[in-house]
Amino acid sequence: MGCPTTPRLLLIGALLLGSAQATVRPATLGKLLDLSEAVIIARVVHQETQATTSPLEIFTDTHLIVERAVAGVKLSGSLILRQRGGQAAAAGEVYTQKIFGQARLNPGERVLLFLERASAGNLVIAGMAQGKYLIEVDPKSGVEMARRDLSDVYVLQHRGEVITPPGLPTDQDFMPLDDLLALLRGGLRPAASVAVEPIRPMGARR
Amino acid sequence: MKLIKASSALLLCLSVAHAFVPSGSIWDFTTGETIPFIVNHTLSEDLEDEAALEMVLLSYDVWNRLTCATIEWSYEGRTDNFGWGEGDGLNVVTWRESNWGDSSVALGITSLIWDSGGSLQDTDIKFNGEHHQWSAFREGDNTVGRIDIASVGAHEVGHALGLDHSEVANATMWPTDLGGTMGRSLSADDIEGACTLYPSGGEVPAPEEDPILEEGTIQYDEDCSAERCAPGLFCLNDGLDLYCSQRCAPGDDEICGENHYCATLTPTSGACVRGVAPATQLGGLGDECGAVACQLGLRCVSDPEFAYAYCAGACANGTCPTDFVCTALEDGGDMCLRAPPPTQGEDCTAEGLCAHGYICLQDALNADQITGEPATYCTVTCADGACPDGFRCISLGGGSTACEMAPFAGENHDEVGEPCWIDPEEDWREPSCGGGLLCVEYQMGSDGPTERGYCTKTCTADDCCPDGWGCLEVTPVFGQCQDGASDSPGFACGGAEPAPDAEAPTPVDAAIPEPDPDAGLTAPPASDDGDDGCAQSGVSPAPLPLLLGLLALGLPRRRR
Repeated sequence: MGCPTTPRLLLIGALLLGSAQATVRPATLGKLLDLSEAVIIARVVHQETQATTSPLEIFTDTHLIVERAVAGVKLSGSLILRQRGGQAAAAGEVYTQKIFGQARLNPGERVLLFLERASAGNLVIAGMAQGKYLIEVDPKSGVEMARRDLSDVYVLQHRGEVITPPGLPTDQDFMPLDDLLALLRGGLRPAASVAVEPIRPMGARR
Repeated sequence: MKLIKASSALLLCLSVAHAFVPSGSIWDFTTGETIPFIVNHTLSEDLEDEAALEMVLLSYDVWNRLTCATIEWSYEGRTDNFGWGEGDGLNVVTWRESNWGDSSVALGITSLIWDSGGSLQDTDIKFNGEHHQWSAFREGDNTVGRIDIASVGAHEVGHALGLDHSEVANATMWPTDLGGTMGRSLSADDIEGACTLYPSGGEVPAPEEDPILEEGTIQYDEDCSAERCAPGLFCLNDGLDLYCSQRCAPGDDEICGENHYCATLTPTSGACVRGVAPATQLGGLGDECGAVACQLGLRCVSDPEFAYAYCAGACANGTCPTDFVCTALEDGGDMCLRAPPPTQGEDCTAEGLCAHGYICLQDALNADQITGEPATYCTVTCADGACPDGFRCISLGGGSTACEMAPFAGENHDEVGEPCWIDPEEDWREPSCGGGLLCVEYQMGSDGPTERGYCTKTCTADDCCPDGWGCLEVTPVFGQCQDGASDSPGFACGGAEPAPDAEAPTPVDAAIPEPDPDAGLTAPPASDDGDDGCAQSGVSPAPLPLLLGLLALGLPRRRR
């Protein structure tokens, strides 16, 4: 991130809303972490779509409020992600551009995003749809869950059966947010001795 | 390119259930018309231009072959047009060897633009040559770690036709490619999708057979997120990464090599994973940790109120399971922390755990009078002999000490029948019976009391015993009240009979201690002489079995 401490950043990206298809390499959480310049939890507050003509180009700006910097560059404040695509009027016609595989951001969503700096210099969501987790509270348990939607991504993988040792999450697309954060911290990786984290509770507990 | 009017009627026909999924936008053309596309002059640097172009054209041709569909892509030659995602009405294929502009893990991206009628206007495909290597997968080609252009291309062209991802495994439009050149061959579902969107009325061809997958080549500890492992290995997910692993016997880490260990998969089999061997068990919420890791979603925390680290987790909407309290942390956030642990004198039966600095003592001398269960409470050690009020220092053996709850010490038990004790360390305070009562029938060992006694009183014919108690002669001058006994003839009650408040133990045959009038109490004299002291003091000379024990002192608990 060019200006990591600047409250408001304009990120010019090629993040596509709507429809286009993408074939991607599978990105494990470790890979996403490696790719990412920053990992944030943010809320989508607003979107604007604009179009140009000759040639027709459609872009959507998504405004995000950063709630928490999870890893990498400590982003804060608000962000604007520019993505190619969306729906806009041009030359008397309404056009829709959709790029399948891209992470779709919708106003009101609370999301965990892996942000990768593309070689063109812009920030994009790492791994396309793989780099976005939608955070929602499970109405039954009250637990915050992190879910990602990979239905638009064509994942190029021919790895065969994957074995997961007990105690580790087998589904990386849907898990409690705390588990995801623990994975990103490395807290769930096997270790000989477990780090004990001092805590300072406030006030009486009775 | 022919831009054709929307065919909304056709779109409406697509509500029937199929495994293939239409994207909601299609090309609008009639039989015989074609959809032109052009290819940029610059293709992959990984192979000859001719081979790369052949594979790009094959990507379109697999769809053109369908006799049951009107699809007709037409190659219109090469172009300098490098645009992607621009609605210029040109369907362009480009290759990006630099300035990819999207996530590096993306291999190819297709952009679709359609109008308000759902009619596709522009489809561009770009391939990522900057971050990936490509191949035509012809005989003799280097295919290791390379991507098949035609497989990715056929999938992208399927999208360019308006097909979304299929729900049928192994279909070209299935969102997971199984590798090699398998994406080139259309499955029955792919064919049905294309022929439903663009029906020609022609014969539906049989699905093409997938090529046989070659053996994997990825070696031990190498990334297998996209490719298969070499024979004898398998792909392992360690939570963050996927890499090729091998079988091992639990506990046998050597076979896994440096910086790896054998993780348990089943009680009898394991897999080599990266890192250092963890403990074999994972702690649940509230379980002690440090030597063991915590289960998924829990953190091993050091809580100042506890002597040991334990696994704690986040609150759920401010709530926590039983025995846990959602507690705000000074550093922000909150966690489900263990409920405040018991301290001095508080019961620790349930968990055997006490606050930091305390031990959980099982005290048989303070057993419940009804159930006989020993009292279990938190207390401190007393190396210097000092104990809180109401407790006394005892030896637990092996040099260990504890402040034992001194039964009834310091309390006045004013009613006949109430239990009592004597404290050999502070016999001036004892017996604990108040109101001029006697403490009798207690038993003493060399290290202190071993059985409790009960409070009673002297009696005469005028000073009656409570109901149910009789006045047994001790001397011709006075007697002593005993439960369940009858009055001795010389002390038959002639006055009022107070009712006892508490149940007294059944009297046993023992000598009755004589009150010490100088002490102002009816304390039985402590005896130094085991031979006759018992007879006079009511103290048993039997060796004292130390009935105290540590129930738990920071013992780890396991919750599976």
